[in-house]
Order: sequence, then structure tokens, then C-alpha cells
Amino acid sequence: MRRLERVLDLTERVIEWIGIVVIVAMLIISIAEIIGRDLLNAPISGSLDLTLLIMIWMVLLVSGIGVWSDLHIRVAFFVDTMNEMAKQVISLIVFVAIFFFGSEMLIQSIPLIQLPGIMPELKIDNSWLFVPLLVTGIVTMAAAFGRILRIVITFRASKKT
Amino acid sequence: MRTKIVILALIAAFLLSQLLNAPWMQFIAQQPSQIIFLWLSFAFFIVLGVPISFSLGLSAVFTAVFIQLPVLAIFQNLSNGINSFAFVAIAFFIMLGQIVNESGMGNDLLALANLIIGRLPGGLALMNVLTSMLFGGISGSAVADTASIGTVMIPMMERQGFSREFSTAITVTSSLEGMIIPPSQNMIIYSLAAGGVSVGALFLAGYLPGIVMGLAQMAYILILAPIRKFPRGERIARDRVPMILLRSLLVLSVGFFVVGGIVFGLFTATESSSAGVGLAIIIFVLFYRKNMTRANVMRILTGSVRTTAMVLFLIANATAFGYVMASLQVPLLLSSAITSLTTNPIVILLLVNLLLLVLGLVMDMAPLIIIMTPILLPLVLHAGMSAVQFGVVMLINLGIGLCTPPVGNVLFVGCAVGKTTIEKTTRQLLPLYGIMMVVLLIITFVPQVSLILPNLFHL
Repeated sequence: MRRLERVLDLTERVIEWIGIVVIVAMLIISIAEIIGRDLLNAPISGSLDLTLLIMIWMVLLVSGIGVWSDLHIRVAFFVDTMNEMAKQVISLIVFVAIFFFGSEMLIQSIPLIQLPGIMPELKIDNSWLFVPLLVTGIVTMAAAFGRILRIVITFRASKKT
Repeated sequence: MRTKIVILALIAAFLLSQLLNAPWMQFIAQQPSQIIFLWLSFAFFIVLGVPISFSLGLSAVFTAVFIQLPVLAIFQNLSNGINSFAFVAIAFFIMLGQIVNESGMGNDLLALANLIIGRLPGGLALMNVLTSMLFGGISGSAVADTASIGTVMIPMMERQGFSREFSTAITVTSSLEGMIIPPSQNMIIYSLAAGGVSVGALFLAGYLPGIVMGLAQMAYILILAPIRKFPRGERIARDRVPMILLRSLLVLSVGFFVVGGIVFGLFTATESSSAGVGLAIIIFVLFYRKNMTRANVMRILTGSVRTTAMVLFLIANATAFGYVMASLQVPLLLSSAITSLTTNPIVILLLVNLLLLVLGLVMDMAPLIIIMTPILLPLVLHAGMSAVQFGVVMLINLGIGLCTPPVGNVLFVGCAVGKTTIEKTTRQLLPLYGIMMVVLLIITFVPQVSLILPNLFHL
């Protein structure tokens, strides 16, 4: 479990850094596009498509690993009224559901990646839009699996004591 | 607790029976049963504590299986849901909010508010509301507004004799102005969901309703001031005035630059947001350098990345959910259900407000905008409301939801910052909810409040 935790923590840090690089790149590209078009009369071809593509990658990857670090907002008013044991069981169900969603994301992304088409401005394959779904599916499953393991271990430890 | 588990188990059994097409489920007609399945499965996941984005996605996937839609289409819609240039603007508006929050620009706005109304009775509470209005003119995030202003104002108000709960309640409700006064990321989401309503018109439409909402809250504080003996704010030394004016005007120029760029057609929303971030960075480097620590810069960057990912993933899943709703013809069914009840435009608008308020109580803003706009927009257009005015009305309705339990992010952040409980704060919030409702009705039934500025600029 510790090894998995370490791998997930490291993945989270790496993805967060990728996110930072992406958001800074998005800003630089957008400002360069304004300067190029309005001041130098030389618009940068494909800059908007590139910004959008890297943003989609960033959003999906950070969302996937966000399962590990509780990034996503949830409604806890019902679960918070339960005792510890029930809370753990419900958390287990929650992360199994998220694991299932991640697996569906992974499975369904494969035919999407194989769809034909080219992004006209960037002249690259359309599959680049759907590859992040596949990667996010894997990351989501790994993060959810890590959370499931953590719950099971905590549950066992509390049962022993 | 046992009852709650039994209820959850019953809902799960009902959903499973429907999914497996059990014989005892045949009494429900096909289409209503499919719609019930979609919403009940969503409610089930939400109550269970599954994150909202995954609840939307999971209920869309299960319903797709139930009604034999290709699951592939759900994930195609999920990916396409954020494949729009306008969403890049949301990322930049979030970044702008983070910069304003971490740089300390809010403190100058606070000083400006003190200068304008600080000496009136209840000065600090009035300052709280005015600062939120000014802060909203740059950042547009209610959560950032509450966290940033609340951290400074709530302890300050408490020291001056205001109760902690009242201070928190004012901080929470005044953040609604931040959401309505442009720039507002939620207006961009609405613009997309409504099929391309002008962002410039929406931004201009937000100014007056935001100001009216702020003035109504200030009037309440002024009425309460002699009864509860609220103190006045501190006097500002004359020699500090020019510097306060200069610095706060500089900060406010970011907001005017962003909105002006769009309104005067210089930039698109995306370009204007990135140029706004650029300007905010320049001001941060030149005038707020002492706050430009490595930790603050990292907080801005990681906060921007995480919040952007969370918000856009919510939108992506809401698009997938919306696709299933459209496949089930929910928009058509709901509008014919409401028009079969009444054709009176006043009643229709009241019903739409009620529906949005109720949904806002239990769900977050961004997905509701994506899901409900295509459903309700034709209905309100039929009732004579313009798409621009409806954008403002929708934002206010859902914004009130953010300040109310059980699902109120702004309320949660406010209570955390104010170190108080939701129960105690809610008691102080009740009259403020009433005021917000009255303003909501004014904005719903007096279109001029929203439309006078867009009309003035021919948008």
C-alpha cells in the first residue's frame, strides 16, 4: 500500500506541475496571439487550437488524479450524519463507483481514438482530443483503487483495535 | 441512521429493478420511467457522497445503458463538452481571481470602501458589502471573494462589536454581487449554454442588478444599525487618501479593461481574459511586489490549475448528462408541462425562479447552468423575457443557492473563515435571504434593471 501511495503522490505532483506548465503556456500563447495579430499584424496560426488542446489535456489529467486528493466537490450532509463504520462502507461504494467510471472512460476512449479526422489548424490527428480520456481513465482507476485500498486497510486496523 | 440506510437501499433496489427491467416495474410508462431513472440515479450518487461531476457522469452512463444509447456517445459528449475556446476564458478568469486574492489587491479595495462609506453607522458591515461589489468587478468568483474578504473583515467586525455570525452572514451574502458584477466566469458558461448570447451584453447586464443587490443589503444594515447599535468605521487620515484612490483605481482598471475590451469589440472573451491576467500580473509585479513570494505564486498557479480542472470537469460531465436529457426529450416535456399548467407569463417566470432556487439548494452552479439553460430558455423567451435578462436571473437564483444549506459552497467557505457553524449563521442569514428574494423579483419583473446598459451600448 505504501508503495502505491508513494506512486500516486508522485503522479499527483507530476500532473500538477504539468498543469502549471500548461496554464502558463496557455497564457503566453494567448497573449502572443493578441500581440501578433493586433500589433504586429502577424497572427500565429493554430495558436487557439493548441491552447484548447493542451487545456483539455490539463483538465482531464488533473481531474483524474484529483480523485486521490479529494479535488472534486461533493455533498456530504447525508454521509456526515452516519457513524464511522457506515461512513467507511459508503466511502468504499463511492470509490468503487468512481473506479467503474474510470474503467468505462478507458474502454470507451479506444473507439473514440480510432475515429478518423484531422484538426485542420494544427494538422494533427483528431485522436489527440480523445487520448486524454484514455489516460484519465487509467489515472482515475489507479487513484480510486488507492482510495479503496486505504479504506480497507483503515477498516481492518480499526477492527483489530 | 438505520432509516437513512434503508432509504438508500430502497432507492438502489428501485434503480436496479429498472435497469434490469424487472416485471414489477412495468406499471410505469416507458418515457417517465427513463427520466425518473436518470434523476433518481443522479440523486442517489449525490446523497451517497460521490463527487458531483462523477455523479453526473455515472448517472448518464447508467441511463444510457438503461435506454440503450451508446455509452460511447456519453464520453464523446464529455470530451466535446469542454472543447470550446470560450472555456479557455474560464481558466483565465479563475487565474485572475487567484491573483487578486493572493496579491493583496483586495486590501486596497477595502481601504477604498472605508473611504466611501466607512464612517456611516454599521460602517464595517457596509464596507464588507461595498468591497464585495468592487472585488466582483475584478475577480468574479464568489468563493474567492468570501475567502479573501472574510479573512480580513470577519475578525475586524468582531473586534468592533458585530457578532461573528452576523459578520459571516454579511460576508457570505455580499459575495453574490461578485458573481453578478462582471467579469463573471458563469456568464461565459451561460453564454455557451444559451447558444451564443453576447458575452458583452451579459457582462453589461450584470452591473445594475449587482449594484441593486448591494444597495439592498446596505439598506438592511443601515436599518439595523441603530437597533443593534452598530459602530462606525475608523477615520482614514487625509494624507493616505490620494494613495488609496490611486492604488484602488489601478486595481479596478483590470476589471474595466476586461469588460471594456469585450464591450467595445476590441477582444473576444478569451482574449480579454488573458489580457486581463497579463495586466493583473504587471500590477502585481509593480505595485504588490512584497506579496510576490514563491509560496504565493505557487498558490496562484496550483489554485488556478486545480480550480480550472474541477470546474471544467463538472461542465464536461454536465454536458454528457445534458445529452441524455436531450435524448429523453426532457426540455420539451418540461416546457409543455409548465405551459399546460399556465400560460400566464408572470406565473411561468415565478415557477422558473422557484425551480432554479430549489435546484440551486442541492446542486452546484456550473452544471446547473449547462443542464437547465436549454430547458428553461425557450420557456422564458415564450414568457417574454430576453435571453440576456434570463442570464442574470439565473445567476442570481443559483447564486442564492450557493449561500444556502445543504449545498452552499460560499456558505461553507464563509463559515470556515468565520469559524462558526452553519446553523448559527443561517439564523442571521434568514432576513438577508428575504432581501435577496425581493431583489430577485425586481430583476425578474423589471427588465430595464438588466437591459438598460446593454441597450445603451446597442448590444
